Amino acid sequence: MTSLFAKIEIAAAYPYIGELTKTIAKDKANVVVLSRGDWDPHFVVPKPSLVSKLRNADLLILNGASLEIGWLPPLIESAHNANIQKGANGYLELSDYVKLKDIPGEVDRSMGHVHEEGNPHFALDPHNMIPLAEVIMLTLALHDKANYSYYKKNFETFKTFWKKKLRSYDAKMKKCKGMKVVQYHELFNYFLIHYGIESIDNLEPIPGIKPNSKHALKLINEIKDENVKLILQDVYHEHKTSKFIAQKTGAKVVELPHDVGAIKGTQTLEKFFDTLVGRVCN
Amino acid sequence: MKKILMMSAVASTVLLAQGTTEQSIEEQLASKKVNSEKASSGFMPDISLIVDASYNNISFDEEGHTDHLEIPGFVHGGGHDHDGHGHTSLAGEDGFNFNYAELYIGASVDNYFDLKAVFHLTEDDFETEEAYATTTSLPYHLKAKIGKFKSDFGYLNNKHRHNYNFFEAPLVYQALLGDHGINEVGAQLQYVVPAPHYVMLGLELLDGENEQSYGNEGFAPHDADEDFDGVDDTDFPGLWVGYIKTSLDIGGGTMLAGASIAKGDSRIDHLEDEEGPHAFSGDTTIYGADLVYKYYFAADKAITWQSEYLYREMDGTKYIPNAAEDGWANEVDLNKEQAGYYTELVYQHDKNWRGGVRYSALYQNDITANSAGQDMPDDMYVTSAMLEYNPSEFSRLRLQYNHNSSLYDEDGEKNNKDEIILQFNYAIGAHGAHAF
Repeated sequence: MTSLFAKIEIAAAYPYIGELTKTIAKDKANVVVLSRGDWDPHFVVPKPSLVSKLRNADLLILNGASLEIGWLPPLIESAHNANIQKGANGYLELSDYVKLKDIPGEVDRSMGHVHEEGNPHFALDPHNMIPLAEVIMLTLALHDKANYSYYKKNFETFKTFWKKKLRSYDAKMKKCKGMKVVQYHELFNYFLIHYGIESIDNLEPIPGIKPNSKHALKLINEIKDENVKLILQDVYHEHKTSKFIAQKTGAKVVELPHDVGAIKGTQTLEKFFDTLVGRVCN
Repeated sequence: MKKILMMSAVASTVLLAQGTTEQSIEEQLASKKVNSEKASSGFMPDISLIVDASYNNISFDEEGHTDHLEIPGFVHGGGHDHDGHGHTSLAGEDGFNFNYAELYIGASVDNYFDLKAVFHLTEDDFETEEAYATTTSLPYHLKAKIGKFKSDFGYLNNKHRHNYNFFEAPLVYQALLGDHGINEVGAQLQYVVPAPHYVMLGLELLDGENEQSYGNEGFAPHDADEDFDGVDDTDFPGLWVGYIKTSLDIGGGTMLAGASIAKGDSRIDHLEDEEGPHAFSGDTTIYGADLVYKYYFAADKAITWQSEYLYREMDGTKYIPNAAEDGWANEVDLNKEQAGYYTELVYQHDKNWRGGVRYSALYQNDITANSAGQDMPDDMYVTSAMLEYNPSEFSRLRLQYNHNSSLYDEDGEKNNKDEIILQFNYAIGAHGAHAF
């Protein structure tokens, strides 16, 4: 428990979590973000300097659904901080509070880097932001009961603001319902599914495995047959394959942010989703 | 009296009110949970298996002089010809080799402990390389480890072989610490210092079994009488290890630096050797300094410069048995001051391709016997280059070339060894992520 005037020390695994947390906690917490928006979220560098940030954390908020499995566990282990061990009060896994999609029936490594629990990229659906903000608000309130009403007020303000944003996003996305796209990795599924956009295939033949020419040829045919308009490219994978396929098919490559700060002009949660919506559907 | 009662009533109402909000926050949070039941394998420990095989092509300057190779003053070749095979481990094995399989099992025990075990399997042997419990919730940023484990001495010592950047440990590690490094039964305590950057202090109390520098079992000549006064076993801890590690983010990259000390009793028994049987009893101290700098162009594109320096001081008595092997023919005051290092540069191009070079040398080899300086070579080195292709995170092909100029034959002549290695490494199952 924190004393009256001490700020809560919070470590957030990804930038979007940092933004949500700052929106609720404002000046009552120090928030450090462990990764960067333009990095592959599966492969963050486990720098020892992150250990010193985790050492003093009262609260660690992570995405969960195994998105951090390749980098965060050794850092938590090295931090020697009982607050943030799995199962402790200061360990919040957001995936516990979201209904996950793409849950595989049976998993095997020949299927590539699949997540057994389901697709972990739920933060790409703007409609998940209010429920996640509420979970963060309640967790902050548990750590700092004296300021429960302050956090609740900040949450209500965010909720009102975000509902307005959602109405505008929903209106803009309406005309793209039924559109067909391909993407590099199953990164944007939550966004696409919510807005009725069909992702017919991925540039990766299976998750985590680089595109190959055989699969690219198959994609070229699929894109032509199904009249796919957009190839969704993230910032951290190579861009050559998507450009090549675009040349062969006439589909357009659009580079999308997958987190706050992934590309220029996406430094806030609002600007991030504005860009995402604007680039997919204009 | 009435007043007091009133006040306590007010106070208890306030407390009660607070109590209900507390509960309601928890309840609210709990009610938001949709995935309380995790994946079905929740109670199964993580299990993984790694298999490592290689094709080795080895050639020597003098092909006829490979039976008694040694690194003088460091590693004996000494004709350990137990299985009727002409080559010793220093000569290596030509052709296809099954190097090892590594079986890992780990899970949380409860809220307080994690348990991990690593089994090292070779064709005929099943070894417990590590089996230890660590605490997860000690106060004051402390962590304790108990069991058998790889010491956190230096940078490379605690790494498993599949996590090396090259096929084998560098020359200086093999010469001073042997094939398995400091891998001991004991206890460890580590403390993360409250500082703006990472500073960690650690202390380990260990059995001291390491065959290359320490050892804890006493010895006596083969056919000595029961009442012969041989050398006793060491008392626990036969070896203690201490270190400080720190890290800074500088120039867009990350630097990790450490200083270590390993100090213990030595009982090294070579009385079984066919040629020149002997044994050593004394004290050994190894000092280590390590420096790693990684610069990331992107999360999967990086350049790493990694170096370690080791210095060993051994002081004690060398025992040589008499011809009847029932007593000592000679006891010699032996002192060794030896040093070496390795430095390597590895470039990771993307998730698939990596390449690197390494140079490891033993450059100081000062030995005195009864205060008389011995004429020992001090120009041993191994140069390596490697290129890796990783089809996925779970498989690796590595091509490596070594020029080994550290081996001497029975005539005291250097016999250079050149080796080309094609290594295959595969992993299945759930294996924890590796630290920096």
